[in-house]
Amino acid sequence: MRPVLHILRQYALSVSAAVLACLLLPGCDDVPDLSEITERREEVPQLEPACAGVTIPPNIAPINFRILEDGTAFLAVLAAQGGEQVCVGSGDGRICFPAGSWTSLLERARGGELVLNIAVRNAEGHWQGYLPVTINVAREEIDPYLVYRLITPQYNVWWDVGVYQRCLESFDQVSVLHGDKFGQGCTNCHAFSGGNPEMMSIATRANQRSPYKSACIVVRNGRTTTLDTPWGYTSWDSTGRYAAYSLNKVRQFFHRAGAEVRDVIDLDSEIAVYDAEKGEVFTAPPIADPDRMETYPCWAPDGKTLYFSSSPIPWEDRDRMVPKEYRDVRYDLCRVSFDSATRTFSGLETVLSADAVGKSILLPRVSPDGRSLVCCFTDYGCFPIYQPSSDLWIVDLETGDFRELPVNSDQSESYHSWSSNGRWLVFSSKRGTGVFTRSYISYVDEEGHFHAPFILPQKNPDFYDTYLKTFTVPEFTRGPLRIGSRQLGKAARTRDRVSVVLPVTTMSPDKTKKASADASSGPWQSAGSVRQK
Amino acid sequence: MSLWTLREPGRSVPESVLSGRRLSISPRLIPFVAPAVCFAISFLYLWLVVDIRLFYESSEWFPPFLLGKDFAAPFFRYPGGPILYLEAFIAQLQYFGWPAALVIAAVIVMLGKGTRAFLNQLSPSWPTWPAYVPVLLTLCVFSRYGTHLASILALVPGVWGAVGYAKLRHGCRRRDLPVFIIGFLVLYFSCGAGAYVFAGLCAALEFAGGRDELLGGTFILVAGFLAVLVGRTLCDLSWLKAIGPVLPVESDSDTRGQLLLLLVYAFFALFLVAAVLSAGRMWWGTADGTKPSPPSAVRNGIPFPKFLLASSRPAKLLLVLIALASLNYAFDRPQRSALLIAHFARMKQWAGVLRTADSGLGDEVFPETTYHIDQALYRQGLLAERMFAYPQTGISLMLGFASGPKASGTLRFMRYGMYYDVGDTFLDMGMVNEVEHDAHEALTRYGPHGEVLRQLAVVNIAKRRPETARIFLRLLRRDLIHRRQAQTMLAQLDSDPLMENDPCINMLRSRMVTEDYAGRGQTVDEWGENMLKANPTNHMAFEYMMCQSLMERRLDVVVKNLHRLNDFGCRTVPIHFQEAVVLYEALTGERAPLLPGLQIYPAVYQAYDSFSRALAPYHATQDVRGGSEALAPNFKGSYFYYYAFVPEQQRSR
Repeated sequence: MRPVLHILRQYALSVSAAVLACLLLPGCDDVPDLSEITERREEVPQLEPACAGVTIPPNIAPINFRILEDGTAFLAVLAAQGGEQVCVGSGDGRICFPAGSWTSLLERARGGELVLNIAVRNAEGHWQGYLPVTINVAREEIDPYLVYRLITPQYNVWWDVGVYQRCLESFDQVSVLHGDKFGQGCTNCHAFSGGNPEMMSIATRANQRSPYKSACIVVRNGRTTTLDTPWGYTSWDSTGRYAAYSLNKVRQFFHRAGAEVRDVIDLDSEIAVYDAEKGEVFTAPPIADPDRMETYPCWAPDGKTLYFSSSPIPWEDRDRMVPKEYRDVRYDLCRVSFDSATRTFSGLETVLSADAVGKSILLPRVSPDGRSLVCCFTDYGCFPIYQPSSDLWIVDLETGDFRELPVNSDQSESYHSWSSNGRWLVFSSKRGTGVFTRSYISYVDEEGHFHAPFILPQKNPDFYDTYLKTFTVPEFTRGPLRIGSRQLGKAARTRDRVSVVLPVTTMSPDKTKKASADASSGPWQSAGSVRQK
Repeated sequence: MSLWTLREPGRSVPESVLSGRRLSISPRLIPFVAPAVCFAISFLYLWLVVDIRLFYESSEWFPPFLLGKDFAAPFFRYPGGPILYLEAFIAQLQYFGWPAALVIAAVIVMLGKGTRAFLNQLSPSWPTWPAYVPVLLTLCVFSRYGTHLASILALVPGVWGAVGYAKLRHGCRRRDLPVFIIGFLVLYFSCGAGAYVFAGLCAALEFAGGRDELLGGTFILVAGFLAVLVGRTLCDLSWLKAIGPVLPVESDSDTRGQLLLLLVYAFFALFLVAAVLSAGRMWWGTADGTKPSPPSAVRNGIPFPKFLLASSRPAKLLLVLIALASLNYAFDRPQRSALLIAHFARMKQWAGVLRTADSGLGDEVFPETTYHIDQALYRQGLLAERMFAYPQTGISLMLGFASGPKASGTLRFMRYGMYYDVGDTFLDMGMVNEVEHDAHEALTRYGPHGEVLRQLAVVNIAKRRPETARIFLRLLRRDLIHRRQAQTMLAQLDSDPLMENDPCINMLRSRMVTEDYAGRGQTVDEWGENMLKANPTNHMAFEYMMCQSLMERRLDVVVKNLHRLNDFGCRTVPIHFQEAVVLYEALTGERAPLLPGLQIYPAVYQAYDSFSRALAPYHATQDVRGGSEALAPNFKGSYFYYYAFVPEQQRSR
């Protein structure tokens, strides 16, 4: 019976605490004015999640937090210039700002700063103040939605995988597509055209025991097309016509020693392009070189240049696991020009060589102004999220200069995405835990400086304390997705699929990439076509 | 009248009762006697015979449970979720044994009482004993050790809902149909398939005696329609989940007791069938060509087959005997032994494991059971002395670790199914990354079970990631069984964030592999080399490597590593190693190098000679089965016997 008693006791305690909090701290009227608190500690209060010195957008949901100081009652006063302030009391240190007051405060502080004063009542009943904490509020807004995948740290099996859309202006989160809609499958690699929620693709991987097959769902203006092949890393051009995607012969393996157990390797890869208007797939030697692995495509905003990572293939046998040379694989950052009228690629060049930096350069994401590119530098390989060495770097595309971003930690920083105005960068980081990936958002000012990032805010300040899922592939969107989870689920289940015939490459089952590549002298012809099954 | 009727009409009261020499029961208490007896029997059966503790974390279907809104909230978003939440809570009580037996016995009695109450509404002429059929079947389900608590819990509101409907029934379609719809929707959402029982019984009430067949038929159609509407259309569930929430109808459901459980549900469907037949009889007339008038039909309800009336004492006795025989027949003794072994292993009661194993394991021994026996043998210092006295398969010791590239897929998934038991052994050995891998898989697939959270916390402490460990421990603090352990560990982390002063963690760290290996599976000698390179005094790794080599018939590995016995201060060579050395010498003609002071007992050589002589005639005729049977009485526990007779596919499955 002890568990039952424990539950009763636990809830009784919670209710009692809430009632006490209501009685003791119904509002700021019953607590001392901050100016009356004479006892002051010359230190900044410990807050979780940390928010001191961060820069937040003027349209973000409340940054709720927990005060990690010992005390019997807590008071947080958040003030904007001009005197407007929000005062929140708490009996347990959890500070949750009312949405209305928060929004109004942010609007007033836009382009300026918020000052957060914390006071804690100690065991003797004396209130103590702390040094004020400053939170900067940027002038530029952030795209109001963030789409990410929630998944437990993944090894061999997956379950309960879903892509969700979170409104950044509130705490609302809705499912975009969950694996339970198609037999507990896996969803991954969602991509949008310039943050446009009407133009997207999302790949699905079927559970082997389910009757459904892997697919890629392309959404254009509310209509879905289910292609019979899953895409890898995908980038849509700004017009929403061309989607460059990678085809990866991806393999996972595990380490017996070291902090990170998992590792991923591409035994081969290449890039193909899907023409959504014509429903055709094509590729070309510069992005499907038989002797190299190309991956992580990213269109420049003008759609005339395709950036990607590329590495020579150091092994002969493209099926053998695990190749001995896996630690020698380093990817260069390359780009190639694209003529959308003739659908031809030309002028392949290496923007940044792996040899020059001594790192593998992955996940290039060009800024919306096209002037710079943020990418991951890792010690080796193609999968930054499993590399504690992975850090974010920025490359100036005009000068070729590159520098490390000040947002990095000692753990993996990986998947990142620019907001449509280029002022915000969301990225994945395992800081603090080394296991759980969370989404962090950093402000990029006009001079290109990256400000201290903040973690994706949650309604419950304790949220991350017990949350066992990771946030992966965060992508901004300019608005909510019009297409519902039900419709996407139906598209994932449908047998009415469009069969995509890929160009013959080494990634094809017959492994005759060389022959086909050699046969393609001159402008690369579309080898793909789409037909209804 | 109850099954255990104390006074039957028309019978004289015994003299002993009249004289007051025996305890007489007040007539007011009589209705409670049968349920009380039923409760007592169910409770004692579940507690003492079935041993309800054995269900706790006994399979991958066992539900995890954590306190808190974030854990509860998802259960209230789909049909059947609330009853699954209740199941998850009650299932935790199984850890303590009797409290769970108490609750489940109460549920079973409620089911019996509900069925009885429904029978009264359906047809007053029916006897009492059919009300105990679902009780018996439910006990049989538990006898099979399947995890079907939610499906059983769902029956109770379904049956009592039908009783409630019978009481609220107005006999007016415009009033009764909304009552039914509301009841069905509430039940469908709260307890899934229990709503079908409700619908079937309500329809039976309408069909019975030709009350309102149209309404009864409508109930069936409306139930199907609402299930599809709510489950499929509104909740966007798959067909199977929409139609059969909480029923074990999906391909990955627990198959133990599955058929019996479906029989319980089918039992309630029988009422509907009987009611429809009785209504049909009214329509088409009785056998003698006459049609009963509706009022009398309603009064009498559905006629009960006369041969099943069981009014005589012998007939009642026969029913009781049938019930007992059913329970006995349904009772899965080998499964109980296997679960008891697993239970003792979890409780680290190694003597209990071996005692249970010695008392009989049944014809088919699961690899999991052998794994626990080996575990117990190791902890008792007997692994290399007695392991072949128990059935061994090539996979049961290491469960796929260190079995070479062959051992992938299925073994890995078998380990995930044993998440509760595997981690600690391999953690003790220092295989931190492997345990982290498997525990995360278990977490992903089976949810936040306490033991998995604890193992992940330990792994992260060992890897000097205290913040990550805290995440798991904060969740573990909300587990009903492990919460104190979590609090203790959190307090330890607060005072010593890296737990540098914890001897267990330090020992674990000292055994962690330092040289990386990234491949598709090591052979046993590679694995052992790797483990012992990190810490040559890792006795567990040494013994597991040697014993795994024995099972794989890698005599060279055994002989090559015998010198390591010196690292552990061994003064004698364990008997199975001696047998391997003798075999090695016989097969290769080479002398095995032994360290000074270590020797092979002459008795082992003699045993080998006896074995060879006994084997020779069968060997000459290639009569493996004959040899196996003939040599078993004298040699079955020896390595010689294993080496000669355990089939290759069993050794390295």
